[in-house]
Amino acid sequence: MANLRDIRRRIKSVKNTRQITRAMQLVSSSKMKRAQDAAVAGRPYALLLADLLDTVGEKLDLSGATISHPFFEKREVKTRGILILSTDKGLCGALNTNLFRKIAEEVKGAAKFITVGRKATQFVSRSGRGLVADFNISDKAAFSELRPMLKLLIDAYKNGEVDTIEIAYPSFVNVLVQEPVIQSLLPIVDLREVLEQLKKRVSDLPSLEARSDSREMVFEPSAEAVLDALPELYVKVIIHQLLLESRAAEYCARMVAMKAATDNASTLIDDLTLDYNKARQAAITQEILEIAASAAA
Amino acid sequence: MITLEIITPDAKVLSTEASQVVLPTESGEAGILTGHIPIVTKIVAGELKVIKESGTEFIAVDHGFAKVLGNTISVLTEAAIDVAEIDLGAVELAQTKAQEALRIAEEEGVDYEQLEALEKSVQFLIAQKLAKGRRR
Repeated sequence: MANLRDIRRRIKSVKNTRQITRAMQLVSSSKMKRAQDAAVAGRPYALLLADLLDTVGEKLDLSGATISHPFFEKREVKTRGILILSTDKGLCGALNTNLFRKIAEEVKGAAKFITVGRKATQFVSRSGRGLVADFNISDKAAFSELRPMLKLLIDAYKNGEVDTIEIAYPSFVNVLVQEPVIQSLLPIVDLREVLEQLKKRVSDLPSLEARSDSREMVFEPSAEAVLDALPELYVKVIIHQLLLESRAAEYCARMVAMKAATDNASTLIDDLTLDYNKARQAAITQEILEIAASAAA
Repeated sequence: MITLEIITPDAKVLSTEASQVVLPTESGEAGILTGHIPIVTKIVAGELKVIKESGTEFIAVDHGFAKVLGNTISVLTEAAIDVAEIDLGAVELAQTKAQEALRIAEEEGVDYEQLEALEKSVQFLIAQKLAKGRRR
């Protein structure tokens, strides 16, 4: 039977831990709400932009003009460019571990990495992969914060330093499930897939149904001018959107992990309290026995 | 009737029916009526007019894109504000600040991209003022 004082000390320390994990659970649940709202609010814009680009691509093809834009050209893939969106802090369950395992499994050849979040930076540098740059982005993830990163990414793609841009991020399935995903962004080949994926998450946008117009599309001021700016904006907005989604996933994961930790601490406290009471009872019984024995003697 | 949607990265600002919509495009104002041919256009910071039977509404928009397809207009812009919500004092203050920043930036010669972003924000602020002024 353990010492009474030892048990009491352990109960106290576990209680302290529970207090911390509970606070973290509450903080991340309020942050999760905000992150989810931001992600939901950004979806229509990303979706319509993808839709617009799809329409433009389609109509330009129809009118016989082949698309010549570096973002649409499929090159031979020598070096993959991978952007990892991870968290700065741990204590969010297996979120980062799952993501890094997926990367380790799927990215075998030559690749260059750009990371967001300290965990990804550590992973890439410790496993001896090619780290190009790492960026710190605050909780708010404002679009302007992403600008240097986006510029670096797009320039690297244009200069041919990397032949693809792929984004590895924990995608938000629901509060309990976050799935690691590696989504390819450039070159733009499967716009339809991105569209379908986004459409599932956005409802009530009337402009999406109105696609059946066979008349020729007019571009103002010119098709080139529109095509000049649109793909780049698309890439930027999608990356921003995915960052928002990954933030929502992070807070969900953290909230769930901290809830589990709080529950575990409560169970542990219950068990320890039981032990403590048993030990106390044993000590009292022992004392009574001793007194009775000495009285009888 | 045509359906108009204005969407910014932060939210869906507006979704409404109108009889005519006037867009501030790069090559001037363009009025869109029912049955307009499909068009994709770049829009500049300015005022977007929504003409309904009940009256005309003004919305200040930032630069972006507009797509007209099958009686639906989707406007994708960095920012959009309903004229009724514009606070002239705040706009003026922001404008002075932005212009000051622009002036300093020009003197010190910062990078071109930052300058362009500043200029665009000034344009949007001016557009808000103009749109507000029109209503009174």
